[in-house]
Amino acid sequence: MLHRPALHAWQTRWLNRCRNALRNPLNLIGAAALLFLAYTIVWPVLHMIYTTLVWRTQDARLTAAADPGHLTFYHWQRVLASDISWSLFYKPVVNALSVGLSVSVVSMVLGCGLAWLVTRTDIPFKKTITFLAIIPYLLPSWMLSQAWLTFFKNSKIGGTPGILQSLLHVAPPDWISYGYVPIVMTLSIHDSVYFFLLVGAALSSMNSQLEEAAEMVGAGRLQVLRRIVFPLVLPSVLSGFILIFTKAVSSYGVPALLGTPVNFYMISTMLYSSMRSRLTTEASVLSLTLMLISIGAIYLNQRLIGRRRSYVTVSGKGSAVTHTSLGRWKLPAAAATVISMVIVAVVPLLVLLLQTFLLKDGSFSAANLTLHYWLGGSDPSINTGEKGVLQNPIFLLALKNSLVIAGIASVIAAVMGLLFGYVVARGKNSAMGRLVDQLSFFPYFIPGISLAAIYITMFAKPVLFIPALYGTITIIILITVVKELPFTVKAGGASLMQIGNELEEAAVLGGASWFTRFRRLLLPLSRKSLLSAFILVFIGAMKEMELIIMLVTPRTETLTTLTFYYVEKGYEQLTNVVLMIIIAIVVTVYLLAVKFGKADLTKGIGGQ
Amino acid sequence: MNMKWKNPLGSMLRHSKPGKAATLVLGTALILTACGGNAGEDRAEADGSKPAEQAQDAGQKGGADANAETVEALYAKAKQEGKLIVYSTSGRANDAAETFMKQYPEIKVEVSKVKSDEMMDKVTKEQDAGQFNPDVIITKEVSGAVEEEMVKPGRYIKYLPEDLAPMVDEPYRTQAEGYANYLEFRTVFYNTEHYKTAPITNWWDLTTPEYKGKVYTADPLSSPAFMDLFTTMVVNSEDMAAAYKEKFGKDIELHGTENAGYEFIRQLFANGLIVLKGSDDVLDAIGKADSDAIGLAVSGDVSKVEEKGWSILPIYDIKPKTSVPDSGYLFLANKAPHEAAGKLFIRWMMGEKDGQGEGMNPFNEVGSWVPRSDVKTKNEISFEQLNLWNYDGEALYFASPKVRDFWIKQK
Amino acid sequence: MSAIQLKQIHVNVQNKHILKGVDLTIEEGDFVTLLGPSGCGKTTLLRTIAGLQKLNEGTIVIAGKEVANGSMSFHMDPAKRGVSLVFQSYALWPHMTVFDNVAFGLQIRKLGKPEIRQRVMASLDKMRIPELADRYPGELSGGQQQRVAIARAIVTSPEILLLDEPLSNLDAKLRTEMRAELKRLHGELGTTIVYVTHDQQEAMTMSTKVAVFFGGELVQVDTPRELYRHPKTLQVAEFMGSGDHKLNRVEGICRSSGNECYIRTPLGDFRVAEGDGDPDRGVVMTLKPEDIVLHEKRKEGLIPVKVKDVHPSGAESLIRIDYGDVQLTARILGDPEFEPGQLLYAEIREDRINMYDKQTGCRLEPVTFHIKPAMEELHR
Repeated sequence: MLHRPALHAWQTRWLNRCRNALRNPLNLIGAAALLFLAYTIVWPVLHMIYTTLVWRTQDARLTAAADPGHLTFYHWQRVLASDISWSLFYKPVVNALSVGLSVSVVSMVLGCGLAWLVTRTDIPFKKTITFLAIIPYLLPSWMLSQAWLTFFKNSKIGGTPGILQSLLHVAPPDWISYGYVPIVMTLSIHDSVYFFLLVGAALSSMNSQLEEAAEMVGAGRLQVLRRIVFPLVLPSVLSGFILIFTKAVSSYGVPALLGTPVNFYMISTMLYSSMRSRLTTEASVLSLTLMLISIGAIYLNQRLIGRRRSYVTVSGKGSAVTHTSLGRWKLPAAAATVISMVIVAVVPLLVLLLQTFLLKDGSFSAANLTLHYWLGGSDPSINTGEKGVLQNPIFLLALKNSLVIAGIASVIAAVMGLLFGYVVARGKNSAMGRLVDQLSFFPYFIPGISLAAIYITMFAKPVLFIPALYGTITIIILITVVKELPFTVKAGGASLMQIGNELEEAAVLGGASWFTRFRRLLLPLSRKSLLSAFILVFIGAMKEMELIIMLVTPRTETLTTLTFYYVEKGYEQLTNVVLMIIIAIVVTVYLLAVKFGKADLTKGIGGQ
Repeated sequence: MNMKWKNPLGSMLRHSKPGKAATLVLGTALILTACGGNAGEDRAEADGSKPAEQAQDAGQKGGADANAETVEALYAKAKQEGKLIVYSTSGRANDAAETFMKQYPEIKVEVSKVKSDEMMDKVTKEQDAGQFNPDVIITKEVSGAVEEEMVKPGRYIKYLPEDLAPMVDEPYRTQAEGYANYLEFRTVFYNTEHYKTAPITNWWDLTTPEYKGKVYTADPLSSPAFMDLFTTMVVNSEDMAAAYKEKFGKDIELHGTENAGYEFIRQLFANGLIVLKGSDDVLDAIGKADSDAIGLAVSGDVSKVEEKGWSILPIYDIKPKTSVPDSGYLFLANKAPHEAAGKLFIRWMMGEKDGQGEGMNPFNEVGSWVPRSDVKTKNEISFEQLNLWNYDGEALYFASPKVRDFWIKQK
Repeated sequence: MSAIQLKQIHVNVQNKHILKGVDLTIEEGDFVTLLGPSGCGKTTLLRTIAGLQKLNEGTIVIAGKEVANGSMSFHMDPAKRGVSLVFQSYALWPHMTVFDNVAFGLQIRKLGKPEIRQRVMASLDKMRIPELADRYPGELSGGQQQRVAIARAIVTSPEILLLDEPLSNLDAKLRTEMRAELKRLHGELGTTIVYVTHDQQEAMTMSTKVAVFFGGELVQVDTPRELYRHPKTLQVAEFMGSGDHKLNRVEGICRSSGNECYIRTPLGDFRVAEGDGDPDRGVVMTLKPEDIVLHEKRKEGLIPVKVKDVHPSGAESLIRIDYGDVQLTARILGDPEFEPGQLLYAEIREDRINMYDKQTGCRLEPVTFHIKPAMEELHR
């Protein structure tokens, strides 16, 4: 039937090859993924590179030599090899790298330790701990740095002294109050939840016999951790490492608040400054260098993963997870964990909540308690007549938009991450898999504003089958999905890498199409990671600001644009009310997802 | 509400079954967009002069038709146009919008809050793509970029109703790029618990040993308006040199810097200038508790004193000049789809003909000035009495990158 | 018609040449074992037959239908080949119950619910685990998981059942039990079974035919008996003789005189037919322990040996004996009361002796046997 006599052998061969290629789901999804990435990421990046290589009219500001429309290396030279390069580029690069590395290491210790406690030991209060682990991420990171200052501020930046100084009457040294140390600490606390979820998923799907085997031959508990557990979850750890590294390197809010008093600038703060000063080309050059750094980091990552092959921990052989007993350390460990997490996460949250009920900030008398900022009508003596948040006419619209954007974007992003992760995991030895892996990482390095600005141009008019999306909610969903790809693809890839190929092959033999396999095997088996991705993207989308602000039209206001308005007017309580509402929504979604997703972030998969 | 999100993304996903055809399709798509993008930019640059003419046209028309454009006529026309779209850097536009909708109940207003630099990008990209969304632009300057990149190419259009013009103070009547319904500026604040009177009278006081390590500023690198003050000092370096002589009784000695403006920045750093993130942080630093430090912050922040619990006062007389104005400009957007409503809204923000209109109220606050001769300021000192440098957009536009570089090099 | 015909199969995995021209025909109803040390390519061959691995060259014909053709780049869908595979790791889906695991393939075929239920239960009955239907794989023991994996494979009534080292994860007792179970199943279903293992005993007990692999090449295909008696190469002989079947190995030298060829070993001289080859080449003689019979009384043609030690294991005993410098092991039934140092007389079953060229490892056909025991005179 396949040897039609009319066809030459080579024709049949060629035909069969095409057929094989098309039948392989990896090729299809890979090609689709590459097309998507090409249009949504590569093209904007190319566009950015192009703009750094030509003179623009505005460049007359920089030098008289500007010749609009012609090619030039001036911008690169200015950043990399001019008399301001040291302050503008090299020093910030060194700072960014050291912050990035330190944050990765610290969050690794925090996140992995917590993940191990929750998934592999018999520590009590697991659900509580898991829930608490997510809270720091709910808070905007600048809020954590504010909390840091409240504690460790010294007299250098004046104002009320920090709690530490007022208690001990000793001013903490500058290096504790500002710059490198606090930046690393706040970012680590904020972002270690990524480690927790990525590594936790890997750990909980690991057969405990692997640990027991090592214990049998007399390995101590630490040895088991170091020699067995750690190498097994290494792929997830490295994914987390890269993710946190890039997030830290490109973060803006925290270094701006904690770094400026001691002149500690990072590439990201420099980049923001270039943006604000309308030196957009300089900003493009800086973000391209950030991208180069990321490519280097990913390259290293792949070298490391490549040498140790990734491990399949979900094989088709069922095994019950037994938990390491903490013995008499059980309660102290639980208490220490919960208490420190409450201090880091819950206390700031409660202070914030309390603040929303205080008519005048800082006064805790009963007479000062009010619901005005939530429900109140216009009162000229408070906030020049600004009404309570729930009375704000655009609140409902913003709430609806936020929910629609975050809800749809996080579902799409999570599933897309799994699909792209499939290409990365199953095609990890092919050029396609590596390409998808690397390209999907870029969005972290394109400043949200630049990406959004390019998207206006790209989606303002219909192009082929893509309709004009600008001004619709779709483009905001799209950009949110794209911006979160680095995380979702990593999460999807890491989770699929844990699922043995044989599980899928068994279904292939049963005649299941790829779609059936995806729906009935891969999707449920990576439910946990999918859920984590969904929740984190949801949180991210609910908090997202920079990205959206360019693309928002009045019709597409969101809760965050509402806070933008309050922050700008200095209405702290009102800002916090919106923040509280956002956090309440996220917590509700989290609880619903845990309940109805029937997946508990503290448990392994296996249908128990 | 017009949310067209029913199929686009879905269809993209559905269409993503690749194959040769799809590859071809995407290839073409990329090329097409590539051409589109470039073409758009080229056009914008090539047309640079044309919109400017249009802008003049609009201005003349505004002038010529001013008599015809009575409030009633505009309202009648605006009612046909539909919802008014405002892009604003200031949240106070929302307050004005609310009173506006009470006054003109048949016009709906939607305000988008965008930062000034982002707004420039947004409007530029929108207009290049043929999307003319906003009607009214309320924006601050960004080191002259608004004037050079938006006003001169005709993307933002100056609009000053003929009947209101006589009441408007200079430079906003004829010299400035547009009318500003209010202005504020960066100046030195001090702690009122520590100092009974203003501790300094000359900018050069900040470089004396008395204030070593005691001067705060918001980071000009992330806030162009602060940089504008320093750039203005560089541009007006003769003034700075004269003030130096007045203060120290001798000619200024430049230590490897180009002029007295740069020298001032250098000495400020040499005297231990502390850079904080924003204006609020500076006022927190000097105003929350008794402090002998002083800091550069925004005059408009005075209105937040009670709420924030600061004990601070701004200094309104510093030599050679107190500061440079930071104006909240009102523009019509190019090809505004609801032009009449836009004009009506700008009139409302200006306080209408009699200067009593409610739209102006949110802006007539302590620390801010409305540049109208017939509006009474809430400050102790009137706009005319303020000793400010002129905001020279073009000069700032070309000088600011160099000053910024100089600033970066100081660290 | 043959069930499976493999012709000149070449397979590269990640640019490594794993299978190097395998030819194998498997008849309908056969229980064929692919035997070889780990890394020899037997699992790859199994996956190639199943269609999970694409071949680079060669053809596969299943039930008269070509399912893969390397030169045409033609690979039929695994599911359409009428084969089932039981994975070494079982590959049970941890999120589905036993019932759903087994039913999956039938659900894909869109059978009616009652029929699915009936066939799944029949299959579970066949594996004697109907009571496990509602459990999850994580709650089962290794042996139970194994049975589920097989039940899942046979529920679709495949023409060919492929098993990849299915018993390697079980303990000794379960393994014996499952062996019997598989044999029973083969009898009941009459399906063609291809079975991969590295355990020669498993191969011997279950198969109708054994195919031995080394380094990606098929070395010998034979019935278990023939394979046991006459391994084609020294490598095969040693592989078959590893483990419990400690093989006696005696080196000798082949000398040609005229057109005849003599092999001289410490145990005696032999004449072989092949006259060609290197005249002074080394030869290895192999002899299984059970092919040495020990007598207490001296008889004509027996070799005098000294008992070194005795390893009784109940039903049988291994006895290490010395014949001059040559150490041999004999296996005898029961638990004889031999003392170390005791003199015994060994009878060697000459028809069970195999001779191999030491260099090429190829088996030599001996034509005449034992001329005289070389050491006999000494002991007299």
